[in-house]
Formats: sequence, structure tokens, C-alpha cells
Amino acid sequence: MQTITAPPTNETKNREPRAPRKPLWRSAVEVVICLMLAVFALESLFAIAGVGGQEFMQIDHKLGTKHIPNKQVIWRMEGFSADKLNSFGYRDIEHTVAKPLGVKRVAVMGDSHSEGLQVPLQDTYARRLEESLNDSAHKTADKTNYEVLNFACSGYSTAQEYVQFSQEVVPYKPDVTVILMHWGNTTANIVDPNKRRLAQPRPYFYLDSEGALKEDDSVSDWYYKPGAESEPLAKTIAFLQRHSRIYGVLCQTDLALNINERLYWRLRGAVQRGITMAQGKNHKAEPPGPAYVEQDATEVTEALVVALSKECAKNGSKLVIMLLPDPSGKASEKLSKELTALGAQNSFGLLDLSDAFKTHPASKDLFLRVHLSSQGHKFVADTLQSFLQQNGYLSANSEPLAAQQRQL
Amino acid sequence: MLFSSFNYLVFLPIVFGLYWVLPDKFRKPLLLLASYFFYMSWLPKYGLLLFGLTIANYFLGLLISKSVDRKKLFLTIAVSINLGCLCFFKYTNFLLDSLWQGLRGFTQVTGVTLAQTTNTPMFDILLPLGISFFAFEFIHYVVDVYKGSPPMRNFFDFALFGAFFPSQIAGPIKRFQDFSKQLIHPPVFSKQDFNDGVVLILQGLFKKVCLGDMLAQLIVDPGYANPAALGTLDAWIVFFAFTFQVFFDFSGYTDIGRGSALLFGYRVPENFNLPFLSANFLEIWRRWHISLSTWLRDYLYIPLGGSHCSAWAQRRNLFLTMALGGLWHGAAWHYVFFGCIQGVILATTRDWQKYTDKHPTLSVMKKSPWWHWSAVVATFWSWTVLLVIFRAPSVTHAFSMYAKGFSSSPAGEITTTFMTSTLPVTLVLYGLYCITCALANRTIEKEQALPAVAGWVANAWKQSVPARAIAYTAMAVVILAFAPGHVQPFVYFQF
Repeated sequence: MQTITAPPTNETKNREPRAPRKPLWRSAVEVVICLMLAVFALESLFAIAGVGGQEFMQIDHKLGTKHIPNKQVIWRMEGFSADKLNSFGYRDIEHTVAKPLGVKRVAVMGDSHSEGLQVPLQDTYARRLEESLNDSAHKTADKTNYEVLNFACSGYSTAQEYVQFSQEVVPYKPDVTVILMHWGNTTANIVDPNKRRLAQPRPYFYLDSEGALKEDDSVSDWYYKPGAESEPLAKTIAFLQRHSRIYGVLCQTDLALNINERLYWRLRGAVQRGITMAQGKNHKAEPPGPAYVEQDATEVTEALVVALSKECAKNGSKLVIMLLPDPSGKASEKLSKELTALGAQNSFGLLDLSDAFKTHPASKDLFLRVHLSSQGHKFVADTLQSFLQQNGYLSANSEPLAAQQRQL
Repeated sequence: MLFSSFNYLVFLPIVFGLYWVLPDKFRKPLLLLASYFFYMSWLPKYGLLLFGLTIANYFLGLLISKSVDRKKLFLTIAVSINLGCLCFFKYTNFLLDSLWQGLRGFTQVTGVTLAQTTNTPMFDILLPLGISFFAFEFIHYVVDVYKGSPPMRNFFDFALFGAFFPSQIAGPIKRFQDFSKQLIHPPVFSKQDFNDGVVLILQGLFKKVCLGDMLAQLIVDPGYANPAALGTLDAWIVFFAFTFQVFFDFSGYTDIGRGSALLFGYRVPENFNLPFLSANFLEIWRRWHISLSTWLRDYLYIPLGGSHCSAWAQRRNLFLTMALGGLWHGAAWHYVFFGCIQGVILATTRDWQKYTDKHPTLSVMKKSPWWHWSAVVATFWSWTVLLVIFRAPSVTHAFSMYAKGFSSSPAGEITTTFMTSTLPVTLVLYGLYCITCALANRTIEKEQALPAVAGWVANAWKQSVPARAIAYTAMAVVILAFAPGHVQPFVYFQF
């Protein structure tokens, strides 16, 4: 019997012969072997090349985030550095908690500008200040040794610094506490009580109806439930943050895309909302927290600085606020004026760097893109040193004079 | 939309998925729509320009093929429209500026006051992306139809030829005869094409993002921005860095374009063939931006008389072709100067070749390996030195760069930046990748048996889908790891 077959179509002519289907276990073994090989190869390559070390933050219930102790950090996003965080997680050399005899300590606090990942550790203004204070002490008969401790951490607000001071800085007994601030820090001190779900997990502050400064931890409490760190997922993430460069690369990419690519930012938001809904949560639900009216960021920041200066005084330290120049100028000018007035009343020093930066002969070399360059750090260290010395912050038994509040 | 942007990484899989899910008859319209979406995502109104040129060239192509006595007229109209658009968008402000500078020079010399204003009058013209490429494709089309090639009768096919997104913005400059052959038979999904396409895209991304962009951001841009800060070693690092930057950037773009086209079953021509292994400048231009070189040969050099004329006319033709080729790269005098130098070198090289062919001793020496490799090194070095004129914003600036390179001064920051960056590792990584590919190709060509381990790996690569998927993911992670903070536009987008 003759069978009639359809003429071969273009599609059937070009179709490739199918390989026999493999058993499932064999495919599973292949996947496991290939994954292990790929992970080993990538981790080794990234270790040799020094990439993927940017993931250096861990969750902290009180502060929101903090550095991972002993983490090797390689920074290439802006500038370059390759250093290890110390055993307490600070971008600093090792210091004992107990203050040695004959040592005066300066504690430096702030955000990424003070942390200075964009330059090598020895170029940060904290390290330069220590070096030059000791150099000038050795040139004179002064037998004091100076230690400058850097507690700064990327993204920290004044509110986080206030909490960090009592929690971490006080045990080191600093004689002077310096906080490098800029206008951007002030907005991160408050949260809109009606939009808590959009806020970063970190401590926030507000002024109640009587003007008293109050802490609002509702966002952190909502994000990080008690005991959450012992959950398997949290443990895995903590392990990856400490040990995996691949994880570091992926987190870094996520951050860069979130900042630079609008579409990615939108899609990421949609996925997050989807996950929240899949978990049975209402993505529009607000975290519970104290009720208060919308806050003025400058007012809360000023209250925080006053509270910090009192806390410093209580612990035998003198507070100095350094203000970085603000590109728009107007906002920080107002903040500077108000902080100067407050400083006179509350005995803290204010060093506004705006004019000094503007009049510097090579002012554009003081910054990389956003953060301070090595020259910028050196300039801040020199300016701070002369401020501290001229105003008697480091001389024995001296009281800094309120009248000496000066803007350079 | 940049090939190296997140938007493209979303756009491509969506179009790819839809393309193979839809029935045959919807695939070409989908590609056409996607190509216009791709083009208009940058500036929607310029989609009209592309569409307008497509309509004009389509109908003029038909008229040229049908007409008996007015062929030349229609060809002139078509070429004038394409060149007119190109010149208007690309060269108007350049011409005005040059004219104005000339007038100013004239007034300074003669003391005659010709104008009150000192500012050059300029039009607010934004150069449409890829106009130099699609205008050249249209010129090739009408000229070839004039010469007797059958025109493309299907308007949608012709529109796809002009707008095909994998080669729309920066080439390669396609030939319609090759492209229309692929349009006749609808492509069939092939695993081989898919794998080759994905590898080409990943390879191109690595070249563009991890090498080209990094070289630009860390070495080339800071180096050219401030020649005074350069030491001798810095200057040479900057010179070589630009040679590699422009190669990685453009060949990376071409790889991504060719890979993207392969995902849809289309093939676009290669644009590079190991240009840095050329033994002279004639060879370099046969291996570098091949689609432009062949276009200039076919539609400029040959119509000028080509090689079928006197020795001096040949030299003149080469010089004119390269000078106009230089101007094609950008509306600035340093591009013209670069082109003129290339023209002189090409003419001299040709004369030198003729001389050495006739000379009994030199013709023997030419065949020795040391002659060849010395010529390769000398050509690469000269190419690098000449590219300084191409990259510098002006000829004066180029000479200040040369002054740094040819004087003795201590190394500055560029050397330190280069050594502390990821660039040494990425360059080694790329070198190892090239060696592996070359060895694999040689083994396949010579049909040699692979060593046991390599054989196992090659077999796993061929047969195991998970192995390939994991390898592709690993390659993508490598690209992410070595990518700079932000992506730069492709160098050839400005042309």
C-alpha cells in the first residue's frame, strides 16, 4: 500500500534531531556539579581580582544597619580602597576599648563622608588628624598621645549617630566627639508617620506636642522582628554577606541598578509588592507606631544635636559639629546659622566648612564625584586640627569657649 | 535604548519570546514594530525621519528600476535626499562654525568689519541616532538598484531592512541583497543559533562594559581631560587605552548586535577581523569596521576611478576617500585631519608595496616572519599614535598629548589608577578567553582529537542544557562584577 507523506516543510527540513531524553537524576547531578564548579570558579576569580567585597553591612535592630567586623572591603564605585574593617566593625585601625593613660581621644562620627571608603584608610581625615596631632605634639614638649577613632558608617543619619553614641562610643571615653554632617543627613532623621512602610529601617525621632525629643523605632521593629536573626533565611544572608563575593556582586548590582535604572527600580518595587502580597500581607498596610504630626527635619536635627551635646557633656566629652558644604547652599546656610546660635547656648562647637571649601584654590579637587577625595580628606583634617587647637578643645582642663564658635 | 542598558535586557527577551511564540506571518511585523519602538525610545519624533527616508527610498528604488530614461534623475534625487538629511543633521553647525571662524580670521587680517556679533550662529539640531548608518544603507540600496539589482518590492521587508534594531544605531552597514535573502524564508528556531547568539551577546557585553567603559572612565577620559597632569608613562597608557577602548566598544556593540540578530534567526555581517594583527594600514582598513571600508570602496573609491587610472589619480582617490571617511566619523576638523593622514599613509603604503614587490632583496625579505611581525608591531604602534588625533577634541589638544608622550616626565595618577583597577585582571581574562576560542577553533578546523578533559568539557557543553545555562549565568555575573558604576554610550553612537 502506498502511503502519501506531506512534502517536507521548511520547518521540518531545518529541525535538529532530538537527543534522547536524559534521566532526571542525571540532570540533577549535572546541575549540582556545574553549580559547584561555577561558584568555586567565580569566588576564586573575584578573590583574585578583588571584586565583590562591597557588601559590608549587617542588620542591627537598634541602629538599622552596621558594619560587619573584620570584613575585607574593596570599594570601586567611586574612588578606590581595599582595606579591612577592624574587629569591632569600624573603618579604622584596632583600638582598645579602655583608654590608655596619657592618651586623648577624638571620636569621629558621621556617614560615608567620614567613613571615606573612596580613599585608602590612611588617607581618611580621621587617620590624617591622628597623625598630624601626634606629629605636632611631638614637635612641642606635649607628651600627650592622640587617638582618633572613626565610628562613621555609610548612610547614617544624626538620629543613628545619637543612638550610636550611647551604645558604642561612650565606652571609649572620647575627650572630643566630632560629627561631620551635611544637609542630607537631616531629612533621614524623621519619618512621615503616614508613610512608615516606605521608610528605611533605622531609628527616627520626633518632637512631641510639648517639644520633647522622642524616639520612634516602629519601622525597625516592623522590619526586624525579635528573634528574626535566628531564622534560616536571615542566617543564610548573614553568612553570604560575610563570606560570598558573588553575593556582594549581586547586592552591588542591585544597588547600582536601583539608583541608575528607572525601569529596574519600578520592576523591583512591583516584585517586592508581589512578595508582600504572596505572604498574605497588605502592601499598603502601615507599620504600627506612635501618632504625631509631620515633623520639620531641621527642628528635629537641632534637637538631636542639643541632646547629643548634653550626652557628650555627661560622659566627659566635648561635641564639635562639622558642616560639609551643600551644593545648593541655602539650606545648609540656615542650618549653620541656627546651629551656631544653639552651640553658643549649649557649649558645642560648630565648624562650617562651606566657606573654606569655596575659597580653596583647588576646590573642585576636594571631591571625587560626591565624596571627599584624598585632598579633600587632608583639607578637612588640617582645618579640623586648627579648629580644635585654636579653640582649646584638646588642651588640658580647658573649657571650649562659646565665644570661640567660629566659622572658617 | 543602549544595548548595555537594563531596558535592553528587558526588551530583548520580551521581543524574543513573542517572536517565536507568534505564527510566522506575524514575526516580521513584530520585528518592525520592535525596531521602531527601539529607535523611538530615545526620541520619538526621529522615528518619523527614519520612516520618511524609508518611504522615499522605497518608492525611488521602484522608480529607478522601472524607469528607462530617467534612472539617473531618480538616483540623483534619492542620493540627494539621503545625503541632504545626513549633511543637515550632522554638518550644518560644523559648516556654519567653520565659515564663521574663516570670516573672523578674514576680519582680523584685513580689518574689515563683517559682523557685529562675535558668537557663531548655530541651529539647535540634535543628531538623530544612527543616521550615518541607515543613510549609507539607503544610498547603497538605490545605487545597487540603479546598477541593476532587483529592488525590494515588499514595503515591510524594506522598512525592516532600514530599521532592523540589532544593526540600526551603529551598524554593521548591511547589504540589502544579503538581508532580503533572509527575509524570503522565515527563520526557524535553531538551538545552535540561540547558543551562538547568547555567547555573542555576553562576549559583546564583556568587551563593552568591563573593558571599553572601564578604560574610558578610568584612563581615557581623565587622561584627555587634563594633559598637563600626565607623565610620559601615563600618556602612553592613555594612547593605548583609547586604541583598545574604541575597539572593545565598537566590536562589543557589533557582537551584541550580531548576537541579537541571531536570536531571531538573522545574520548581519562581521565588522572586525583581528585588526591589530594587520601588517600595514591597507590591511587594517580591511579588518577594521569592515562594513564601512567596503561601503567607501564600493560607493566612493570605485566611482572616483578606483585603481583603474593613473598612479597619481589612484593616490588622489585614496586620499579623497579617506578624507571623506574621516569627515563621516564626525563634524570636526580633527576627524578630517585624521582621514587625510590615513589617505596619505594608504597611498604611500601602496607605493611601498609596489616598490618592494619589484625589488629582488626586499621581495624575499618581505616573506620572512620577522618582517611580518615587525610590520604588525609598527602598524599597531602607528595606529595607536594616530588615534590620538581622532580622540582629542582638537588638533591642538592632540599635539599637547603628543608633547607629553614624547617628553620625559614622571608617572602621575593614571598609572596608579590603572594598576589598582580591575583592568589588568579583565584584560588577562579576555586574553585567556580569546586563546581558548582560538585553540578550540583550530582543533575543530584541523579535526584533531581533544585531550580527555577538554573532550569531556566540550561534550558537556554541547549536550547539557544545565551546563550551558549555568555557564551563561556565570558569564553574566562576571560582567556584573567587573562593570563600572554606570554605563557609557557607545563611542560610535555619535557618528
